[in-house]
Amino acid sequence: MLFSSITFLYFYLPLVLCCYFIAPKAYKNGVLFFSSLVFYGWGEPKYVLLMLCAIALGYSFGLLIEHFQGTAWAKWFLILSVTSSLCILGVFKYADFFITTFRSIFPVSIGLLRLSLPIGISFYTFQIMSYTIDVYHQKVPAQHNFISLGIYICLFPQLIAGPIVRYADISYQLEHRTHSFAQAETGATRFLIGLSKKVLLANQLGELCNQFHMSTDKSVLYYWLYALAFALHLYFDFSGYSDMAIGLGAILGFQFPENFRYPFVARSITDFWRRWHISLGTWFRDYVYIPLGGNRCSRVKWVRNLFVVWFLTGLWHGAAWNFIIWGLFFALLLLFEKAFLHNILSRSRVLCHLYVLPLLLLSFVIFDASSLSDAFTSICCMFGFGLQELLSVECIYYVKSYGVLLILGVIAATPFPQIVYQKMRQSTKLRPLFNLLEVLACFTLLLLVTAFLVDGSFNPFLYFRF
Amino acid sequence: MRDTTKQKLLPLLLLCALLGVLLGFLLHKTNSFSDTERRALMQAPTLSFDSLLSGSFMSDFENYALDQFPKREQLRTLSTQFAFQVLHKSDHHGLYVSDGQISKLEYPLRYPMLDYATNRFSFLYESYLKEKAIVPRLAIIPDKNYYLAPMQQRLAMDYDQLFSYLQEQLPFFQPIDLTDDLSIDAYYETDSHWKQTELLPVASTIAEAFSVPLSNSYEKKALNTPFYGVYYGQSAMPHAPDTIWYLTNDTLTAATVTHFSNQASHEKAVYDFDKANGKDPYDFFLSGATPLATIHNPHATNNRRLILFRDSFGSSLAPLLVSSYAEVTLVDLRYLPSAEVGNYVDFTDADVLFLYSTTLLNNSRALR
Repeated sequence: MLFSSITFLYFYLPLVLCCYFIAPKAYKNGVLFFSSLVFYGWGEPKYVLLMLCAIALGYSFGLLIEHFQGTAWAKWFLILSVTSSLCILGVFKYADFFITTFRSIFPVSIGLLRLSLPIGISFYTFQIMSYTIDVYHQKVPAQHNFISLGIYICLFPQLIAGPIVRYADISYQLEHRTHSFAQAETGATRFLIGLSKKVLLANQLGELCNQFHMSTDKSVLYYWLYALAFALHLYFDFSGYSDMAIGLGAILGFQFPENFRYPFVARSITDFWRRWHISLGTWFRDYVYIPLGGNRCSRVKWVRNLFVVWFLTGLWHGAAWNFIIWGLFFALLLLFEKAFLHNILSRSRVLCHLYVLPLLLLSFVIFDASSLSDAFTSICCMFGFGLQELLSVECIYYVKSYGVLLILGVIAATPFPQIVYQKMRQSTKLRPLFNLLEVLACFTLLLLVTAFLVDGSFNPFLYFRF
Repeated sequence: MRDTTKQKLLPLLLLCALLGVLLGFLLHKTNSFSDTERRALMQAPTLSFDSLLSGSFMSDFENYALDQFPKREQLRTLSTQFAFQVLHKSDHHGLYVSDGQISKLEYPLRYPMLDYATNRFSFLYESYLKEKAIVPRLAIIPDKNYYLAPMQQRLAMDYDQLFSYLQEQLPFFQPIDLTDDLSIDAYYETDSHWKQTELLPVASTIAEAFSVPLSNSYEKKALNTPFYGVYYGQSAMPHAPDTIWYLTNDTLTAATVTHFSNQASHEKAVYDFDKANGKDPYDFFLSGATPLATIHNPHATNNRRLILFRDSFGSSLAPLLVSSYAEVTLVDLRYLPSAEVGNYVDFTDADVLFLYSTTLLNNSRALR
């Protein structure tokens, strides 16, 4: 089920909220667990069993690791737990990619599995791995209540597109969370902002990207227009989802970690990855990069660690070579930045943005490519190779048609609206009026979102495929 | 409003709004058909173990919720207005308003579609016309964008390229240029079709091409039914309805139309007043879409016959050609396969006209 669907907004959400707040405290987790399974089963009825198996494995291994803590058995159970999670991920997400790659190298005939990708599998398997690893390292005690662990893994706000929540961050809230109007108000506002980002910005920009893909009149500037539109589309799509997840979490009494912090104002690629999909970046840092030795090792090992992490980051995003190249592209940039650019970039803010933004646009073109050759062709075209025209009629038309949306998108991707909002809230005289306007703005957004949902059909979440 | 008031009010109001809409949805009478979009609306899906397991129940329910949402039409209008007035988009779902005309982008020119159409036409020529030494005429009806797009700098197919490509692909067809006989005023404001009252120059050009006389003596009448065209519903934009005007005279009143469908035939008048009150009042002309129809002219002064291969545009033009012929047979290849045409139509000594809109040629998969 999509957050940005009529079924979720006007059927599932009000019913779940009513049941949740009416239910006595002892049953609240049960309501959440059951409703999360319904949420998941709505989109993937066949894979509810897989989800329950994954929860059962995580639950059992957590208990076994804790029980055999300090013995070699604990380590074996940890290895088994991580292996089982990776196997689930490998079979359902990567098997066909590995088979295809193997077949292209060796002349063997192995049939493809052709399994449909279970929604959110990359997110929940990573949460299970982080849980058992943290139990092994005694950072958290194992969860003895199956329902509580089940909620951690499949809680509907963050089930299908993150953020990747660490068990340590919400273990207390699983049993002892509190609810308040203040929290609910913050959560509701955040949810509506995220929903608007998704429906009013991301979906509309996605239409522009679709028009570009269908175009037979491409030009150099049209490629750059598409790159900008896709970068903003991806950002509003994913950050919108994260906002909705964080908002819903707040309404239900959970505090989820932030996943985005205005990534397009980053002054370096390093800074960008501190602002983009933060929960994934920190996951790889804590569970792969640092265990491999991080940067506290020889230069050669550090370079290896960097490439391993970014290879995996790319692979996590999709079972295709363009995602791997996308990840390795960032590894190269980070390496180059740390080795040579650090001092140069600290001299000028303008220079920083001129360096970061075009590279990000290029990276997202690789990300969105249907194949490696498609990525290569697109990048060549962006620099005028293989294209005759600098500007086409179609490009001019879509610049005019989507100009306002693109300007709004660029402004909304910066902290500027947030700064203006904070400044306005500081005025004590205008505060009552501002509060009223805020409520009205929220309902106007809900009305507009509903209108666009009823009117439109272009609505997929990009991060569903992960 | 105090901070604490807002903290209580916002979540409570939001929950009430969501529950209110849910309640409204449950109490709201289910619609079976959307008049503006001219399509059946999704009904509540049936719950079963199989439909649950396959996920079809869920996807059907999503469509049902979208189709039956309370105040759906008003919400679609709001979304369109926001797209045009606030986001200043040039089109919304490919539709736009220009000089009071609602139109749809027909872009780009799709060569595979043109090839498909020319293959069908060539097949008909080779199968039925070549051996009888008939030279068919080809008249292309430009869509509204032909007249609107250059003024508004909108995307439009390359019409010159379309015309020359068709001429290249169909060298045995003699082209008839209709572009100078039409203007944007010849089209309905809310629909893709042309107005019959503006088609006398078109009929005259066609009659000239076949060297047949043409009557220009008609009485102009209007239907009482307001005409909300297909673009009106698709665009969800507020717009005054069109009026369907039609031309009639004694010949057209006396003429009869035999419709052939499913091995049966039935007779009707040229103008079908029952259809004028139906879902699509444009079906008033020759009762709308039909695989094969023949108009008989009892006042004919010659024995000439016209075979008209046509799309829906032909319905309003054909009556204006009746005075020139004893019989006008209309063939709609969307409903009658090309290979079967010979079973029903006698081409001997007939004039043959292919009259197709650019919209259909650019989306020609419907031709059989």
